Amino acid sequence: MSVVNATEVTVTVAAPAAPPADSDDGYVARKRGFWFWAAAAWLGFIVLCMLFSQWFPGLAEPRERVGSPRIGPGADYLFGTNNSGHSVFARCLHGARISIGVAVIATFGGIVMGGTVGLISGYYRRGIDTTLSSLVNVMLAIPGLVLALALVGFFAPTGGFDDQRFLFFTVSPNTNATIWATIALAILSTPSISRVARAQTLVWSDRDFVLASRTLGARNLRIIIRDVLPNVLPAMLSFALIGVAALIVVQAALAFFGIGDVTATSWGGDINFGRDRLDSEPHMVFFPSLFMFLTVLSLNYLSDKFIELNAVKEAGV
Amino acid sequence: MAGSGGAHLRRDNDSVLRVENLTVEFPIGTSGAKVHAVSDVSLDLLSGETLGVVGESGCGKSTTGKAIMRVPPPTSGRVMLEGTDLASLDTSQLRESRGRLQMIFQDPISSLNPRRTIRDIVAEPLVINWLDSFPRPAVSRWWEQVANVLVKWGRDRRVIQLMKIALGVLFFGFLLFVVSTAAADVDEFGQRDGGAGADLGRLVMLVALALAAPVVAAAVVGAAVWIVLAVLMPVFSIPRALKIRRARPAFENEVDEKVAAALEEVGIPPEVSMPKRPHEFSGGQAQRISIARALILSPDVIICDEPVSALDVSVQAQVLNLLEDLKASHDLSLIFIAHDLAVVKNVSDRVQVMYLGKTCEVANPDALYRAPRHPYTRALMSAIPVADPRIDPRQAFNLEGELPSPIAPPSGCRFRTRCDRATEECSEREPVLQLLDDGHYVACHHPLDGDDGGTLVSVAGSSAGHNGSSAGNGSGTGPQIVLEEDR
Amino acid sequence: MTISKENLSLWSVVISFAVFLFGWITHLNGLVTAGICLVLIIGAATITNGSYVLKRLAALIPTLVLVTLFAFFLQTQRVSPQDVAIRVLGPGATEQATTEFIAANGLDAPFFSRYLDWISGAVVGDLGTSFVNNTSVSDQVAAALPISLQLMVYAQIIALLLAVPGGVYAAYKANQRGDAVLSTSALGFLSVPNFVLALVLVFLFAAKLDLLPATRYEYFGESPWEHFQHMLLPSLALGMGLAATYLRLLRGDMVITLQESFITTAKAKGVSPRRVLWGHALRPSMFTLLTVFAVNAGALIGGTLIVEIIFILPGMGNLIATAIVGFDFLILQGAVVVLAVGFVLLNFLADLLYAALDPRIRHVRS
Repeated sequence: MSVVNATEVTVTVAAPAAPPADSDDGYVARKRGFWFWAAAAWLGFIVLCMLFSQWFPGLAEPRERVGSPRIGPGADYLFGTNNSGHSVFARCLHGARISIGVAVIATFGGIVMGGTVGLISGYYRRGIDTTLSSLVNVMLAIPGLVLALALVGFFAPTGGFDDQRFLFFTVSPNTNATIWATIALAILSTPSISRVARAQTLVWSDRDFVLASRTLGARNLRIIIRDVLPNVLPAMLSFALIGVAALIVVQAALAFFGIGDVTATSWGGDINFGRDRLDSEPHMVFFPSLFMFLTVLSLNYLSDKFIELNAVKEAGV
Repeated sequence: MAGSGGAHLRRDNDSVLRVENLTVEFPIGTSGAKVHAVSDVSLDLLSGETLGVVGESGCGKSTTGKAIMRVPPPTSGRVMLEGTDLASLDTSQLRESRGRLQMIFQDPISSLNPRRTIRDIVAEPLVINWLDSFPRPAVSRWWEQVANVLVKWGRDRRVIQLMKIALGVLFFGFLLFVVSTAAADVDEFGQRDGGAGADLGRLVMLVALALAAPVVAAAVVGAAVWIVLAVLMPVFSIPRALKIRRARPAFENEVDEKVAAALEEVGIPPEVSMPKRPHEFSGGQAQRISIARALILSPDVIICDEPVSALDVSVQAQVLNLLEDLKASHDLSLIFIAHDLAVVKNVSDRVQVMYLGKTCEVANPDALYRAPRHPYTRALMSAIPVADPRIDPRQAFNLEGELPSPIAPPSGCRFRTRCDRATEECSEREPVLQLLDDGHYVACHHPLDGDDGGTLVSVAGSSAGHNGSSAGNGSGTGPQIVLEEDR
Repeated sequence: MTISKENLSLWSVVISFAVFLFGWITHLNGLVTAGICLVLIIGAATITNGSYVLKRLAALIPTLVLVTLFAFFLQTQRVSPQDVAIRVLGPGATEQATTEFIAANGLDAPFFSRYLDWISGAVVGDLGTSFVNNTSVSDQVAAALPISLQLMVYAQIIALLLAVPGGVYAAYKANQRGDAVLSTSALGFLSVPNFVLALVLVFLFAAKLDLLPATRYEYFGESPWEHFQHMLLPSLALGMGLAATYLRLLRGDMVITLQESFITTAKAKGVSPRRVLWGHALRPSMFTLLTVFAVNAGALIGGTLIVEIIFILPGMGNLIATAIVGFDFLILQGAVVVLAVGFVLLNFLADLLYAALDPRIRHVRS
């Protein structure tokens, strides 16, 4: 799936997998199992790479020439070297920063914006809901990748090869393009997150405990934060996991169109650059692809699990 | 049934709660049609009294209870709590009087937030009041006011109507312009000139924009102010947050004690229950927790909205007994809303029968159950199943037809469309509550004479007679209630 | 099955599909065929459930206006009138010539005025002229769009061919080995970005096995056999991900359906498992799939654009990529508008079809 896929998520949220046997604590039995931990471990490793890859001891710089170009994978160069003689292994690790970082930050932005919009329109309803929902629907009316292409394609300046820093990190040779891509992806994920939040808010704010809080004189803000948000959040977070997965792919896809941070070290960019020599040196494409696949798979799997684990049991009367 | 009027209201000064001419209407969309949920209902409640409110589902009894709690506030009418009109209070005064007026809901599971602990749920009223005792910075108050104004405008029917019209006109003008320009030929520069049609379209669009401009400008300015205040608010709230933080440990200890005491009182073991979450409790236990939450501010009046309808019959009696005990020990007055006539009969000192947002009949339960005077009450009574094979249920006074729509209620007496005694007069004039005999008020032009309705009910009533009468003398612990179904 | 008021919508879809195919084969003007189809479907739907269709139609106009406004806004932000003038007149143009050019083309008019002029042309298929190579945007889009459409249709067909039997089988064997294999591989395919899948397919079937061509487009009219050969890999690359989504949905719905009492009744009557699955359970389980079928078009469009770039198919994806690299923002704008409007219309038609198939919808929503 190359684009944030609203439908799939709506469906998953609406019809969670049939819960396994109940346990005593009332939550659905927390059978995490081996694959849960495997996925979590992989994501943990990737997050480590994202944050600290530049300080890993012994790891080559992304643009450091470690040997002759296009050496196959082997004992000397774990994943081989690319067209310019850079270590593919090092680039895979360094690439996590752009590939995951952009997606995570954008999804976080999407949760903040979409969550606010969804909570407000689901809680207050009527005119406010109509206005906000129609705006959201317009944003959803543009296919995700097309929206990203439009935003980044029109706004992000291309070119520029100087290393730039953003906060503490070296982000990419073209920070502006990265920031624009992040903003575009945040905007892209906002409407679908807002839909999930709104649908859940509509359900939860109809419950009697919200009414009870209102009879106690609680302010709307308190009700939204204390009563509605905790119940809406699990669905939103499980959506966010898929959202991150989808945005990783969209972010990579932008490289194929030659926009965004073309020169940055990212999995998408490396796949794009390597594909010219696919038939003779597939390792240049294979390893970044593998990293991306494993990450997306882990996120999708955890999202599935997350829904299962968080299904609150509401005791039966 | 049209029961308007307040003949049944007592002049007594010690009525804790007095509701006069309560009306609740819900607009449907922007069409101007309304659901007449509650129309001109009056009731009063003496100290220590239990008022039963009965009626079919959809008769507005729950809405009445919620309107008294001001969720949502009534369209019109007065709600007086110990002499003060709730509508006249400002937000913080209202919050204070809410402590004296509490509500219990029908669905015990749904009325407890599944993600919070029992301790937090029961402590919530205390916490809200406590937080309120810290003055909030001006920025927060402004923010709240701006938010309220924005919400009010966003929900206002006239504003929505205006925006709809403006949008319609705008798009009409847009289409006019686009169609006439698109039909025109292309000139040498690749431009099209739509001529008169395009000019007209442009004009229409300008008119629409002028129509919408004030609202749009207000909304944009309001939203901008709201966002600025929302950003400033956390900053300005820091002193208050620090104060709260310093005071919190002492307060939390106090809360723990109070919550434990309240839970103890409703028969929930506090130590084990406080850290648990609602799903770990049964329906009856959850309803006890709801009662503890209602009790913690030691209220004067509790409105019980069908508190036992969702529970198992065996548990119903326990909860009812608990309410009865608490009523005695805490000097409570109850409004007991239910559709289960047997339950109402057993707990009430006075019963008010409602139909389609109106009052039909008000009487003490014995009189009402023995000899209903309103045709609707009789029908309601005869719908109680009786465990006696000699009685033919087909001879009961069953209701014909469907409940009329509350959007367009019948003229005159609202019950006339299903009433076998209805005459011309019933459709022309709305009956007013009138006193028939001792404490028995009926809103009907052709009330029953008190004997012909009793046949079925007397059989059921006689066996439970002593229970009813003991509940009738009101105060005191009273005998333990045993439900009819339990026999 | 005769034509009645109830199934009019279904028939209108079938007939417009025939019209569409006819138009495609006889090379009728695309706008004309699409118009006829739209009128047919909307007309039939209006007859069956008028108020619902009219309401949805009224809601369509603001959406379309806002979408086009958005694209136009982005374009004007990036392209200043001076840029345009210099690109057309050449870098050596005098200031006076530039000013004259701007005035003559109405480039200095207010934003909304320019938008109105542009949208008036766009509704009759005139998306403007590229300032980069002076070609008509509409012509370029018209040449690229059918290729993308073909790819999407083939991908959907492949996805359904794989997902329906797979989903039915997985639901039948729910929580057994067969289901585990299918569900797990569906999750796997869902997680493969389609450009990665495309590269894997190219590597296996084109580079290593040399079975299928990896690049280039062949027109159907010239050689149907070659056409399908060239389209097979791109369609597979797109279709596998879709199939995984569909399979998971269908399996979930069908597992629920299979627990319902009418299935138990059918089994009790001695209906064979095959007939229970295909005859009784499949139809009620297809509804979610149907909605997703349309909404997923958004993901499908995105996927198509990327896959086209990898397989070097001259569709919308390559058009956009070329436009971005060449700073041809009018083409980018035109492509974005066409894709977005197509997506909106597709969703609208899917809603109508859904309402026609499930009468409960129009009452609930209207």
